[in-house]
Amino acid sequence: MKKLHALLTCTALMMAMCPPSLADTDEPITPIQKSPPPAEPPPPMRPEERGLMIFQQVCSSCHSMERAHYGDMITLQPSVTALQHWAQQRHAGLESPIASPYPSVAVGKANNGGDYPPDLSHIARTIRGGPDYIRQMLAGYRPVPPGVTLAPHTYYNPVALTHHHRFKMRPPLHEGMITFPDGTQATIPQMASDVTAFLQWADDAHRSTRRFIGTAVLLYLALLGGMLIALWRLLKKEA
Amino acid sequence: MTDDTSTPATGWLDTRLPFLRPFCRHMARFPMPPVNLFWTLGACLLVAFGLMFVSGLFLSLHYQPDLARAFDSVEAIERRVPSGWLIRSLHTGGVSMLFAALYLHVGRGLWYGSYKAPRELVWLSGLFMMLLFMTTAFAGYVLPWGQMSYWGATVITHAVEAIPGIGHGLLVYLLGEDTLGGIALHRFFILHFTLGFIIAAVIGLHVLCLHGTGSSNPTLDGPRPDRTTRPFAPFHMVKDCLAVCVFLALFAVLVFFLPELLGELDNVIPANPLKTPADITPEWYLAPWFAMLRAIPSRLGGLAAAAASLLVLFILPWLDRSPCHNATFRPLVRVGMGLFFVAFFTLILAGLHGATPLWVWLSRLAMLVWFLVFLVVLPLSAYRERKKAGSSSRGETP
Repeated sequence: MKKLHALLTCTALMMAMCPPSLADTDEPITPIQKSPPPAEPPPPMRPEERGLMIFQQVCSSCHSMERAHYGDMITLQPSVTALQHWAQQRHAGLESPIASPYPSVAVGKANNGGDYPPDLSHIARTIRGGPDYIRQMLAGYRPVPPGVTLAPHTYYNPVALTHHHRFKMRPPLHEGMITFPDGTQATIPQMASDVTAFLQWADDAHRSTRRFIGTAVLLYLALLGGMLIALWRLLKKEA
Repeated sequence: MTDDTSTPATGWLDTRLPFLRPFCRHMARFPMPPVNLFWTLGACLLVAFGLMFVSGLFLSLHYQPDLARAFDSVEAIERRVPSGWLIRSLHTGGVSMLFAALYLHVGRGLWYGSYKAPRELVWLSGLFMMLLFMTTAFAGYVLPWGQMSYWGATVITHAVEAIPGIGHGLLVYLLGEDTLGGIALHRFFILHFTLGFIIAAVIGLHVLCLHGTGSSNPTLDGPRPDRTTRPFAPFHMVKDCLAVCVFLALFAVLVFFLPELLGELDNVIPANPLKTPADITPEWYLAPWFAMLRAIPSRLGGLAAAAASLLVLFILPWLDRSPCHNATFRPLVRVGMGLFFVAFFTLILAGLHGATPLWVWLSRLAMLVWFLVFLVVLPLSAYRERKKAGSSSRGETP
């Protein structure tokens, strides 16, 4: 009983003494601000996360992604505020589709040498050549070789499939145009590869989950199948 | 109710549903001849249908059969409905698995002569169900309202126009308007949804017919006929479960690891009545009949040939009246059925490829084989076997 009394006294004393500065001064209570230690490297980003940054800053200024909503990007950009900010910049909300910046097809065509920038929702699946084509085409712009004349608003890209290498899309990527928070160098091949990863994600966002569930299902079925085989053999022997 | 192990609960049920216990006993003791693994396909089909039914019900909660919203509602299921992508991939992958099992099941019936007396009703109800499945699959493929949905449906519905006299009127009556549009989409949804329940009923009928006559016995025509039977439970039950397990594993590989095989390439583009896709390809399970429509230069001829190819299956029990069942022991039928399976496979490939002269001629050849096998080889072989066997009915299963 004595021990308990001593313990209680000790606790009470400690509680009274613990925040002496707050109790003594009249300073307003300020929340403790945790500043990140500067030495810690930023978390690495997945390629499709970098791709989303490129899409937000570059691709979406001409292309739409009608099938996806701004809010769908939450898997790649966990900050709702950032997404809201992006959507508001484009006069939209989180639940609106990522529409074309052009008011009409005609305006879109007029701004791009006569070709309307296609919707990017499923481009990784529907374009001839698939993701490999997109990756090489984005990094495929070259200086005009001698003997080739280009119409205005036309760019030389030997990888591009349309108009005999005279491509209507302005070279979208330039060295160092984006600063990635994870410190990845924004080279053209790097960005082409990242944005392709993003477009693949946009076409089929559940690729990795699908594989995971598939593996789990197969493991479960293997276990069940093994037990059923054992049971079957047992029944065969009995008969 | 002489059973000794009646717990209160079943006793309560027994008095109110007196047929329940005899029914369960009948199912458990149903005598099974010594069948091989091909006889487990029915169980696989039942499971596949169950999965399609349940996943379809969940999809229908989110799908909107409306011209303006159908495509977007499918995209919403893929992107925003929780686990919607999973349920939808089960539904779109399940249809391929279901048809693969269905065609193998029908092929097993053809090879082992399961269509013969006294199992005509099993065969006919099964074929009727196959037609229902084909209609359901076709209607279901229209629902996402993608490019391939729209153009595939346009090609097939306009085949109706080939019917002389009433063709156009019938088409307009069925579509509700001159072209494939919102009314038709709504009707396709109702058709697809309702047929699921109708098929469930026909499955019951099919199993009922089967339980009237019993399963066919593949060993009867062989050198060592085995007339022993064993009760369905537990041996065949476990065997069926094992087959279902393997079937589900294949299902999982297709749905989870090879989704690109399902080929929805052009169906992620919204339907555009003004822009025909480069080539209109049907789903593989309807490809044979698409190839037939294309192989005949006349539209009416193509329609008639495709319909006849299915109708000939319905009269099979009366075309082949031989007492022998198993094609393994019928040399002529063995070759004929082998050729038919090759022809069917060729027609699938032909339907999936462009209408080049090579594939058109190959599909004509395959159609010729199809009709020759059923209309010439089978009756001829049956005639010879009946003569050989005299008037005795050797091999008739009880």
